[in-house]
Amino acid sequence: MASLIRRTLLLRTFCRAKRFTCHSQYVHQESAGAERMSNSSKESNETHFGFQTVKESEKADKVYEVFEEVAQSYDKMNDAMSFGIHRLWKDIFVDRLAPSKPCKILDVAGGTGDIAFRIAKYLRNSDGGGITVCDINQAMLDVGRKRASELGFSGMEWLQGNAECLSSIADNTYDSYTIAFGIRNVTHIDKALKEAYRVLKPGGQFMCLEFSQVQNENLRWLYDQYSFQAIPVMGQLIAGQWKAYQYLVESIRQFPNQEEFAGMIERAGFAFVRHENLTFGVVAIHCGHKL
Amino acid sequence: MTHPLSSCFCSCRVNRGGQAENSLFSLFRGSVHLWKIDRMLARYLPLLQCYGNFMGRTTIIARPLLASNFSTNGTTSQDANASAQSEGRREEQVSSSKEDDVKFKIFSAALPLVHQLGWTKECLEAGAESIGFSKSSHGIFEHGGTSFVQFFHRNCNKELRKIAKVEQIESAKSDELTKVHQLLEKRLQMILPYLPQWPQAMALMSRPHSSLDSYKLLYELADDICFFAGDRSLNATWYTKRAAVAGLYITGELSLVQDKSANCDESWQMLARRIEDLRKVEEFGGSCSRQQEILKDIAQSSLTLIRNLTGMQSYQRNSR
Repeated sequence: MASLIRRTLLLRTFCRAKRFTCHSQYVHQESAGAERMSNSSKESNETHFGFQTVKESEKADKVYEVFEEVAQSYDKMNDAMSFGIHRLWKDIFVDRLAPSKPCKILDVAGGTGDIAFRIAKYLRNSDGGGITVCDINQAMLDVGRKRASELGFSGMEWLQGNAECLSSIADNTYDSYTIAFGIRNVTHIDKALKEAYRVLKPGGQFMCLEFSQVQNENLRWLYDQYSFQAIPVMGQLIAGQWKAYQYLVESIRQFPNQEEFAGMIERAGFAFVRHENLTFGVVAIHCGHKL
Repeated sequence: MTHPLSSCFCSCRVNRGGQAENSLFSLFRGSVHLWKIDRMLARYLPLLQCYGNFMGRTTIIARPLLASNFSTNGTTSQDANASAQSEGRREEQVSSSKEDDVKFKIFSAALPLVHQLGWTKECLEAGAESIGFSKSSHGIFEHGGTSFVQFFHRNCNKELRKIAKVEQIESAKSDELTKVHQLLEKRLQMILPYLPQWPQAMALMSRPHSSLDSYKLLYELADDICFFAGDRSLNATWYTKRAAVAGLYITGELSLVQDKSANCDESWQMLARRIEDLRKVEEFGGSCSRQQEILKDIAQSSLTLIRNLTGMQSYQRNSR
């Protein structure tokens, strides 16, 4: 079952939603997960794709399609949906990462290079050496590579690969592992976290930027209205993609909230796990260290 | 003199039932008596205590009493606990000895490099690399240099507690103020090796976002010093003593970073002079409290005299 990571596209929007709308689905998923464990040979393993339930083997392909379709207008849509705030989130993310030269950084699900270029800028690293961008989607990587050559970052490595199985990367290779708006699209989040743990050096830092749950209930209502009513329309108008953006907002609601996700990171073996909410919890930065 | 509160707290672990009230900073105590806060506390604290027991929250109500007790156990004081909680419930829950070990290892490796690199993220990185960890492990210290300095303070406080426990037995006979002096000096000596970089550390600690944690660390320090100096006060002097010790420590730090004399002699003399000042204040306060009853009588009779002079007492005569 191929699972894929997908970069989230536009997905960055504001965010979090009414959890009650999908709560029953969560329960369903969890019981499905338990079944999966007890009988792994069972063929019909199911997972969620937005609010739909699909076979695990199909999710990766579906996510791939979504991102292939939106790759060209990905950055434009990000700006439109988040009113440009996604740039601030990414800046803060890189600031919290606080990399320093020389170090090796793996940016997973980093297709269009947003995070990688920021890291290179932070390091005043003129060619982007030491930074590897990994994405499952070739279309996204192509966009990123093109932008990199325009910006003169010739030293970056571009790698097509699945976050759940980074088999081309040796153990204990990287100082930092970043994944921004990507882990939500991975079929098995726990596997991706284990891979992250594996490729990091001891002491290495795992950093994740992802949509999360808005903490204030009133704001959450407002945010939900915006996500469900306005974003698909914007997707249709700007990128010509209603469904991709429908998937975006639904997948945000399916993703575990701050505390649950922090628990998953801890279970993958990371220590010093902490998280920080940005914009009332629309997105959250999670961070952990391999010991 | 037996403090009225002593009997009220006979069920309390730290109570030294009927123990003579110590006289450090009794000027403060004197003023407290004047304002009758002390008596008010004596009257209402037992009620609060009962309520606290009833609610199962004794530690909060009887905080001045128990806070020092926490420190002796070698664990963090209540405030430090609270700060750990605010840092993130999660972090505390999972914090295992392995995490602490790693953090301490990186800290210890980075500390000798402070002279070249200062209290910075780069110093932590260099330290981590020197013991085989990735550079990125600087992120374990959440706010870089600031967390580095705070960790150093916390560590020094811990050291001081260890030293004080040993000293407590050795110098059982010296008076409270002398012990405060000794402990303060020991604590200030801990920053001596890093004196050239200390202004940077002080600046980091006083930045707005770290000031809350800084105050907690300072409180922890003052609380430890007072406790190990033998302070068992049960009234408002609990607060004034800690404030005075915290003030002395900060004064000492400020003096040290500007001190050009050999071995920082001038700072140590300054500290000794401040302690002497406190001793004088204490003596003065002691005599004040002895005069207090007389003063009260004088004040009352003056008041009566004024009332008589102004004819305000006349209604009493009229009513008869």
